[in-house]
Amino acid sequence: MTRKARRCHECGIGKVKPLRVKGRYARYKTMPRLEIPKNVAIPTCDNCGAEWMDEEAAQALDKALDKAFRAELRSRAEKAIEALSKHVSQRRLEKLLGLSQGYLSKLRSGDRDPSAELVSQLAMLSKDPRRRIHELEAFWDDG
Amino acid sequence: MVACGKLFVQRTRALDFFSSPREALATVKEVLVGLELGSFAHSVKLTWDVADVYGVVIEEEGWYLKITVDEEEPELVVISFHPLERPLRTRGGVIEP
Repeated sequence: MTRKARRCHECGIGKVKPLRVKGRYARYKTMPRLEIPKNVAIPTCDNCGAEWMDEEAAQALDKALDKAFRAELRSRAEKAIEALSKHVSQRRLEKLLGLSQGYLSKLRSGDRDPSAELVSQLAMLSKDPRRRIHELEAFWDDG
Repeated sequence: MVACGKLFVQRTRALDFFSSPREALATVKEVLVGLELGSFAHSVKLTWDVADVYGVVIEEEGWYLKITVDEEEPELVVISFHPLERPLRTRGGVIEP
C-alpha cells in the first residue's frame, strides 16, 4: 500500500518522500562516516532535504549499513594483512593474535567476517609492522 | 503512540548520535516513555508546528529533546535528540551538558 507523503516538520513546507541517492553518510558502530548504499530509500523532504526515519525505514537502513560495515571491515582487514605479510608469516600472526590456524586465509577469501576488534588490532599492527610485531612477541613472551 | 511505533524521527538531528539506527530508535522510545513533567523546558513556535523542548539525563550526560505531535498522521515526531550543547533550564532544574 502506498502511503501519502508526510509533511516535513523541519521546514514545515516540503513533503517527505522516499529518496534513493548517492553521497549520504551515517554513523554505524565503530565507523563515524559510513556511506549509505544508494539503493536504500530514506524518507526525505523535497524542500529542505531533512531525512526522517520511521521503524520500517530504520530497520532497512540498519540492515544495509550492517552489510556495508562488514564489507568495509573485510576490506580493511585484507589491507592490513597484506601489509603485515611482508614482515610476519600468516601462521605466526594467527598465533600472536590467538586465532585458529587458517583463520586469516578464510578471512581473505571472504569465508569469515572479521570482528571490529580484530580489524582494530590488525590496523594497529600494520601501522608499524616490524616494531609492533616485535612488541607483541615480547609481550606474550613476558611470562 | 510511542508504544504503537507511531514515531517519526529526524535522522541527522537525532539518529546519527548512536551507533546504529535501531539502537537510536530504541533509546528514543525509552526516553519518550519515561518523560516526566520535570523534564519540560519550554515550547517553541515553528513554521507550522508548536514543539516542546525537554532536557533529559542519559548516563550522566544531558540531552536535548524537541518533539511535536503530527495530528494528521497521527504520530509523535522527534525533531531533535542530541547531547546538550549548553545548559538547559527545565521545570525540574538546570540540565548540564
